[in-house]
Parts: sequence; C-alpha cells; structure tokens
Amino acid sequence: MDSKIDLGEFLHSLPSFAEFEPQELTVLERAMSVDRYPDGYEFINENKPNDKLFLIVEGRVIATSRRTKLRGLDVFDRLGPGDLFGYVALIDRGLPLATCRTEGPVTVAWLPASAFDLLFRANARIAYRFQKLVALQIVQRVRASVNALDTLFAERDIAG
Amino acid sequence: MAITTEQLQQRFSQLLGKLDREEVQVLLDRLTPINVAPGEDVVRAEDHADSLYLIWEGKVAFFKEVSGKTIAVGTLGPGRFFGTEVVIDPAPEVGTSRAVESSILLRLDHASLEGLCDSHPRLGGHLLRALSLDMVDWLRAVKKYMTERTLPNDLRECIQMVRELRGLGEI
Repeated sequence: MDSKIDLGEFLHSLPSFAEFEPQELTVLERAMSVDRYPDGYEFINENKPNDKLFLIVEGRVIATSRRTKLRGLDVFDRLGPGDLFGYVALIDRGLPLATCRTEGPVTVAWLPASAFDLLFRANARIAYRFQKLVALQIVQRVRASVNALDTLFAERDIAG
Repeated sequence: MAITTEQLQQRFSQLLGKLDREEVQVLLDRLTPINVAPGEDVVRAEDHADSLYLIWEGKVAFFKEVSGKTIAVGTLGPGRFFGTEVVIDPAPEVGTSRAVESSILLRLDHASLEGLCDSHPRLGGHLLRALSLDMVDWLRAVKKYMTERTLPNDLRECIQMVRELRGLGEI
C-alpha cells in the first residue's frame, strides 16, 4: 500500500460512496489493496479476461476499444479519481469492454472479483451498495452507446 | 390473475435465475400488474421514466424519434423486459413503447427497487447484477457488431442493426 494514501479518507470523500455506512467503508477499505503504477501501465486488455475491479485514487486512466468500422463509436474515455473500471469482472468472467492503461503515474485501489464474491456472501448490504455503484456506471456507458446510435440514425436519415 | 413464484422465475429466468423461492416471492409482492390495450402507450418519448417492465403476456413495440419522425424499431414478447437503465437511474425516456396486442406487464419502479434492495440486500444485489449483465450484454453486442460488421448504409439497415442488437422481433 502506498503510505501516502489514506484509502478510508478517500472513500469517505467520494459522493458516489455517500450511501455507505462508515463501518461498511472500513470493511471495504480492508478488502481493497492500493498500488501505484507508472505511465503507460496496462491494467486491462480487452482481449484477456480480467478478474479485478479498480478504483482510481490519483491520476488518469485511458479506456480504449479496438478501432471499429463505425465512425463515432470508438469508446475513448479518460477516467479520473473516484472512477471505477474493470467492473465487468464483478458481473461475469467474460472479456472486458475496453483496454485500460495509465496516462501518467496512477494510484488505484483494487479488489479481486473473488474477494467481492466473499464480501457478497458475508455482507450483502455492502455488496448491494457496491453492485449499485457498478450498475450506475454501466448505465452511463449504455446511454453513451445509445446516443452514438441515435447520431448514426440521424446521419443515415439525412443521407437517405 | 394469480402468478406463482415458479411461473415468474421460469418466464424470467435470465433475470431471476439466481434467486431463491422466498426472494422471488418478495419481488413478486412488489410488482404491479398493468393491463395495456392494443395501441396504448406504455411509456412515451421524453416522459420521465423510472420503471422496469416485465412482459408477462402480449407484445410491445418500440419506436424511436429520428429528426422529428417516429420510426418503428421492433417488438418484444413474453419473458422479455425493458426499462433496465431507468429503473436503476431514472431519466427522460428516449423512445416510445406501445402495446401491439392486449398485454399484461409487471412493473417495478425505481422507488420499489430501492426499498426492496434496502430491506433485502442480497436480493437487491442479485437483481442489480442481473440487470447489469443485461446491459453488459448490450455493450458487448454493440462492440462486436461495430468491430466485425460493415457500417449501415441507410435508415432501414440502422433499424435492422438495432433489432438484431436488442433481439427485437419485427413489427
């Protein structure tokens, strides 16, 4: 763990974790590990299964997907402190949606999917709250993809 | 109309497969049955939407607004559900859903989901995971389509693409 980072304090400061009780944040803090990575480090490759969920504590992470044939639908996100990535690992064990790598030095807190499963069995309330955080983040991704499709519809309507 | 827990779990196995009998009963108690006549709108575009709808009987069609025009996209039938995103995070609806046959829908609104998750967190966790999986399946399907297929050339092909991605039937 990076000695300069107080994960508990960081979790308390995040609006997205506001629903968690203080003791639940303490459990979460104990379950997560904190590490620092250099510029260009690849956490997740979209072609390889991932089994960890990451929470950015400091720095920036870029999420990209394979170049697609459809203009405007390349996923390209810049994630910052408080953002989660790798959350598909908590949903199933399939391939990730994007490749995620650091842009500059990055500190992340991470949780193995197996630890989440244990948490789910031991403390359903924490697991539910965490699952909700993940679900809300996925909703944003779905809405972005629907917006991109709507743009495509409009372009094809004009062209047609 | 009396629906048993077994019937509900069997018809919506994708969503409820991981729940035990008692949890399905808890959910069933919070679902509101809605009868919708043919031609009646379930949700209109731009309406505030906050509910998940499980299609128990009948058929529901989906319409998109494109450049001021209403375009029919496709249909869903029994055993399917819609409203995944808005039951988690309410927002204005992006399209219109309309019954094309006399239909029975089972509605779960955002407040009921939140209450259920609060009183039965294990059930809530399973439900949210199942709904998340549905959304991840959509994102993977979009990604796969965009990576492996050619760009739709016109509106008709766009509709066909969405129909395929959503697993919608023809209207």
